[in-house]
Amino acid sequence: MTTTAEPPVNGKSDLALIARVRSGDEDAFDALVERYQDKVYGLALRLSGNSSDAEEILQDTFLQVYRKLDQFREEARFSTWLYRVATNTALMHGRSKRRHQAEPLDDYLPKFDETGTFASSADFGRAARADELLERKQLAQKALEAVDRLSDLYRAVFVLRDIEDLSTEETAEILGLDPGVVRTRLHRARLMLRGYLGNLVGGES
Amino acid sequence: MTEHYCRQCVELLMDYVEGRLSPQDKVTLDEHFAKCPPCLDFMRSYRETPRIMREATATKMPVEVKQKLRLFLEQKKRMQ
Repeated sequence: MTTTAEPPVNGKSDLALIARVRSGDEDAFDALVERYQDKVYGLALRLSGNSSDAEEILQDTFLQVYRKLDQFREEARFSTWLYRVATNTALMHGRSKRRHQAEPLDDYLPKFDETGTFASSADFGRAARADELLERKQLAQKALEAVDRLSDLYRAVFVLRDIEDLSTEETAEILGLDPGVVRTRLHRARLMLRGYLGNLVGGES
Repeated sequence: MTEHYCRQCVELLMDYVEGRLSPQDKVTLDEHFAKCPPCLDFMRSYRETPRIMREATATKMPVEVKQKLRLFLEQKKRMQ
């Protein structure tokens, strides 16, 4: 039996849904929201560091998507475009709402003596077991605080590349950066966060 | 390879853990790890940091946030 009815929106590709939104189908927009809201909320939470800001960023992001969907060009992936809107919204939100400059994490970068050897004989291995050594809730809170203390330069790169697990190229496209710059910043962010975890579990000072 | 290779070792860690080093540089680093326990521990903790941070910051979107998002968008659409 054949049918002329439109298939349900849930099984459709992003591009098919966008075509339907552009032809006035509100259910298709709701399906896009349903599909990506958890991802956008998670991204917003990690970029903002708190749930109330994440909620505002989530709402602003999808409102902008609704209003600016005409600007989406189909040669890009919709998810990349959406992540760019969400990231920019989060960074702008942070700049306008951040009441104080977070204490940077530079102190947690590794230190070397004049010979190029580690300056201290710290127990670097403890940082690799931070998730075993700390209570889960405490680690969750400290991890969000640590990401929040990264400057904008590093935070967005680390969150997109290492937390959201996007490729270096996609992260570069979202942030408008050269992939080499993404890798440099990612390395430094990892070093700072590694040192932060080490300090947290008492292996490093 | 010099005895005091730790700083260079740290600079190469990203390429090492992602398997992007040249075979020769990888051998050099592996040899250094074999006789420098601090660098070996440092590499392991560097490699684990993204996973630990990813798992520690994993979150589920609360149901009430979804409901508020839906209401927010419905309200904004009506005002269009």
